[in-house]
Amino acid sequence: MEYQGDLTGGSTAFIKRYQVAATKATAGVPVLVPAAAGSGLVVATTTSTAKAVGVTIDTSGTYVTAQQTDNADTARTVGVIINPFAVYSLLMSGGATEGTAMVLHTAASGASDGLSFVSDVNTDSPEMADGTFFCLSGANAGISRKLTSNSTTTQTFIVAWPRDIAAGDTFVLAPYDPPRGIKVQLTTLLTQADSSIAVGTGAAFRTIELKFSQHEGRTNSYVNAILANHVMTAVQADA
Amino acid sequence: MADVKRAEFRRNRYTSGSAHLDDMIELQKALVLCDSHAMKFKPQAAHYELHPAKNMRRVQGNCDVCQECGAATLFLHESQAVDERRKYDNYRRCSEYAHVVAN
Repeated sequence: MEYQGDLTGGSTAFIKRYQVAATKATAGVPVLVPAAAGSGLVVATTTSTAKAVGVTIDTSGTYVTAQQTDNADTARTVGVIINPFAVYSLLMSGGATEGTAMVLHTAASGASDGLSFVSDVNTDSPEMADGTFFCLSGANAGISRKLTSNSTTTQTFIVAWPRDIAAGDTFVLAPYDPPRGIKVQLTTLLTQADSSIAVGTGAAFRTIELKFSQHEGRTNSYVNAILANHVMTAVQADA
Repeated sequence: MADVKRAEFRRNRYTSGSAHLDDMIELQKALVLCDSHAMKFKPQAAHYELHPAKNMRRVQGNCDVCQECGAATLFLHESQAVDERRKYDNYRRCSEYAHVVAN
C-alpha cells in the first residue's frame, strides 16, 4: 500500500524508525505495536491491523536475537510512516494473491427500470451486498452503483442505473462502500486489498473512496483508506 | 582497533553520522536526510534516488546523519525504487481517468 496524503490536510509523511520482532521482507505493509514481552513491532495479518503503528517504507534485514560473532548490532529496524490519519491506496486484487484480476461480472439480462440485473456470478457467497458495482462496458460504462440487496445472481439497486443494462455488459464489484466500510482484507503479502471477500470482513481500515480505472478496471483499481485502529489516535493499552 | 570496528555496526557516541549513513547504505535502507546533509549526499554514486512518489520526497523525520528531527528528504535504494516507481505510475495512470466513488 502506498502513502497518498494525510486527512489533516497536510501531505507530509512522518517517519520514525522502530525495532522489529521479525524479518520484514516487504515494504509497504502495516506494522503493529508489540505485545508486552515482545522485542519490537510485529507485522499485521490479512485480517487484523489492530493497534497499528503505521506502514513500513523499507525492509528490516534478517531478524536475529543471538549475539553475533563479529559483535555486530543485533537490533533490526524499519522505517514506518506513523501519521495516524495517513491515507493509503491499496490496489484491489481479485484474490489473496497480489495482482489477481478482479472477478468479471457479465450481465445475463437487465431490468427495464435500471434497478436490477442478473449477473453470471453469485454474490450471495461471499456476501457482497453493500458493495459497489462499477460498469466496465455497456451503456453505463464508467458509472458505479451501490449494491443494496442481492439474491444469488440477481443484483438490486436503490438508485437506478442511468440506462438499461443489456446482456453482455460487464462489471467489477468491490466489497467496499466508502465511507461506510470499516474493513479491508489484505492480500497474502499485506500490500494490496483482497477484494474477493465478503463485505465487512478483514482488517480495520476506514475506506475513504474507490478509484476505478475505466480501461484497466480489473487490474488497476484502488481503494483508499486509513488505518482505523491506530495507536497514535487515542491512548490505548499496548497489548 | 577492534573497538573502532565494532563501533561501525552500532550507532553510539563513538560512531560518526557518516559511518551510520554508510551502514544504512550497505543495508540498502531508505534514507531520511535533513536539507544540509541531503545537499552533501550524492545519491547516484550510492545507487540511491529520490522517492519516485512526489508526495514522499519531503518527509518529517530524524536525519540519518545528524539525528535532527524535522523536514527532510527521503531517498530509496534503486532496487526498491524500481518497484515504487511502477506502483506510483500505475496509480497515476488509474487516477488520470478514474471514476472516483464515495457513495
